[in-house]
Amino acid sequence: MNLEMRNVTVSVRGHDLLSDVSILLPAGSRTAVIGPNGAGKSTLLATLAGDVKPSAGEVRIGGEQIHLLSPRKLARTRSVLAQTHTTDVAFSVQQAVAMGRFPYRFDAGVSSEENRMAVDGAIADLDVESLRDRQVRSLSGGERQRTAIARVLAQSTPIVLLDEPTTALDIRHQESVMALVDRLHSQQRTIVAVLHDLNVVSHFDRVILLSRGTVAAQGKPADVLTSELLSSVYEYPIDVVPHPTDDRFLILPQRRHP
Amino acid sequence: MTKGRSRRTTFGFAVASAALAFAFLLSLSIGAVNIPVADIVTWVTGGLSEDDLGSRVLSGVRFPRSLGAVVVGAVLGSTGAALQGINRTRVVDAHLIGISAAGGLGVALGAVALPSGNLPPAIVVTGALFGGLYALTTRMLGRVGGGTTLVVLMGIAAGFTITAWTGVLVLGVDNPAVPTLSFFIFGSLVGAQTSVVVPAAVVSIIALGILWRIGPGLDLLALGDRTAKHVGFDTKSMIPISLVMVGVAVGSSVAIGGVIGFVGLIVPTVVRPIFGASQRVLIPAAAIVGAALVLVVDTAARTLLSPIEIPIGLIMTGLGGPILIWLLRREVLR
Repeated sequence: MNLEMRNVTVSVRGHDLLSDVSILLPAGSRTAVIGPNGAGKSTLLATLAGDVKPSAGEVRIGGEQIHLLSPRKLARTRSVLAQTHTTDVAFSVQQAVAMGRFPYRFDAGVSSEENRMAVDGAIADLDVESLRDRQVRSLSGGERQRTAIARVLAQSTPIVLLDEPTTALDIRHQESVMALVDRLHSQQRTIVAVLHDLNVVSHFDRVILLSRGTVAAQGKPADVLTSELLSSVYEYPIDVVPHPTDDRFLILPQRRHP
Repeated sequence: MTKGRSRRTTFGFAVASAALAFAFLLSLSIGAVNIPVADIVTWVTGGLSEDDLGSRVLSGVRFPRSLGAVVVGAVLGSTGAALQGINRTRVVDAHLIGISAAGGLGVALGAVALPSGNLPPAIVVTGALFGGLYALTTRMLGRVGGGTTLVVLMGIAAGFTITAWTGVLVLGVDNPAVPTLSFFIFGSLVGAQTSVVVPAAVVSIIALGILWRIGPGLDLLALGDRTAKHVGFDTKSMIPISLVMVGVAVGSSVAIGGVIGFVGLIVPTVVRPIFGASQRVLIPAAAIVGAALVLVVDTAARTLLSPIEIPIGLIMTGLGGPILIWLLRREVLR
């Protein structure tokens, strides 16, 4: 299912967070959204999720205008990992992951077996099996992040929107999230991820580089991840060097301070 | 739900229901006239003569009062649980944020505008109306962006204001049909009568039933309003509807027993560790435990210093105040 933004402007109190952004995310694509702080990455994701209504332009999801979809229909179409600071969750990991099945409640077409399998599968995929009965509020930041991703996965939607999925994760779990992205991709799902860590961007087929609310560049990682482009948008000299063992890139800031 | 948890829930419901039944029997049995349990059983089966003193006390005073206590306790306990879910804090209940006071104003206005010998059933409607409308505004106040703390503090301020003007209204009209000022500050089940208790019970059951239906959606709010929306909960309409249901139930319960504080803070605090945080379980559990608590405290209120009756709200506040302090401490230290 594809996702499209047409001439979207998002203004808050006269300030444009996004201005005239047009992007097309084809079905089954993996897109990374990068850019410096305040470039509009999270706003872009929130707009694609239907949380923010554009001041101008429109967002279409599978060809339909996003704000015309019911909350339930929307929740069966796209899942969202947001950056949240809600920590005092008095539910178990199992219960929190099962919340991802909310849009399928009271649906005769979805069996309880199917719901259970989606929850169990997500719990196994995110390696939170051993935390199943723990209260979410007792978890570490990384464990909480994995629980949240498991909930997103349990939602089983064709479009998956992730805001900084690797935040708070150690290298092993960071890589397993990237493996998960690959697997979702193999299932023809459309994935959009906002990323801060430029070194994981090579996992994606497409990159959108945002700068001050506009698209500075978009295309294949090899085309966008260049020293000139990144240095100019991030306003800091950045080197891009080939990875020693595979075809990815390493993005390194130059050391200018003594 | 894991097996251990579900067994604990079943056991919890069994114990709570037994406690409620015991409290109800206790409330019917003791008072200025003590009525043996055997006589109550005979009365229930219709075997006690209508002229019998016990029979007259039971049907004229004690049964409506006990039933009223059950409705008031069930409403205040379960709405406390729901409000805590909606606002993502343990430090909130209908009384603290002024919903009970608003219901009280509705009841006072209803009693003033619709005078009759006794409290007319219509005060259930005016109480529910004011409670519901006010509960809805607490959401708008929260929308300002100050979050939970602001909702609670504004609610406290609004509650004080409403109570003050209710007091002026009640003192200003010289009408024996209008409850006393104490009723709107500390509550009292003294005048509970079937003509008010029954309609209030019906209204409350419907409102709490709707709240229970929405319950799984309210659980999602623990993850934040935004995430709740992401998984398909229609926060824009369901949160206001839930608040109105809370206000309607609380407002109609105020028609029975006035403004009684702290039940909604005490009950969920006790119930949550046993039953968990899921509203589908919490709402009925808090209703049962709340009913039992109000029954017991009301019985104590009318017997401890007999023949003097202690306003029920005094005892409830005396018990609930320390719990509120403890909750606030925990909230800050978390």
